[in-house]
Amino acid sequence: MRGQTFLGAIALGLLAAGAYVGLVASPPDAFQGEYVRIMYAHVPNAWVAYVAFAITCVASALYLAKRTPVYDYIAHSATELGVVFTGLALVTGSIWGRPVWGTWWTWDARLVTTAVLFFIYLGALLVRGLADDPRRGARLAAVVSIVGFLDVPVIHYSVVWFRTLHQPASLTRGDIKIAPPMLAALLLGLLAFTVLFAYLLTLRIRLARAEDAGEAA
Amino acid sequence: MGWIALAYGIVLITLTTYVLVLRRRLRDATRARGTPTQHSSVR
Repeated sequence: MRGQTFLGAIALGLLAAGAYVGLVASPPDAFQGEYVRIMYAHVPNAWVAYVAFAITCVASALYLAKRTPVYDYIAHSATELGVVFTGLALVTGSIWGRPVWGTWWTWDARLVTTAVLFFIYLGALLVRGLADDPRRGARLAAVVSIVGFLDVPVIHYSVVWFRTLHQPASLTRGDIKIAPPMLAALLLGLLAFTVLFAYLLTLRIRLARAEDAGEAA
Repeated sequence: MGWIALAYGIVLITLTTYVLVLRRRLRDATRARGTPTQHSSVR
């Protein structure tokens, strides 16, 4: 409990530092100008959504194999967080696209596959909620979550496989196409959101456990 | 600057609301576990 509060405080501090570096200290982009600052909110949201769905996939597989409730608590919690962060990635991306691309939305491979991911995991939450038997709902959600994770590599490589409007990856192994001050702002944002995600995940798992215990009583 | 404020504002409001809702639900769930329910008190 105390460790969780400490984690939340670290996340808050890192987010404040990330916002300062992203909004004030980092330079504007040569082409996009000030709008590049939206990247420091957009990319970390997309990153933690990937992490959330990877955790969902592993926890779902473990739940199907062992039927231990704790894996379902983790899968359920990570799914909900993944949906929140994917939604934020879509919204911030859309707001970024409006001044830079001149449109809120385009039927681009990266955008469409990300929207599909959002609806798959929203569907996983719905399947869980609509099932009469909670254990059956958990099993169905686990199957949807595992199958849905196949979309993540498609999203990641969509900018390589297809001709897209979306920019390619700025950070790839051994090839960094971004200026050092911008890289620092981006990495700080990624770290801040990762710690925030860890805090939210622990909080959400505690809630899932408490609610399950309440229903079982 | 308006687009940047809009993007950061939506992220800030969404995540703050989410944290507050989670904490509230957790408090309620923990409190419910500590108090005997109508069903259990009848039993």
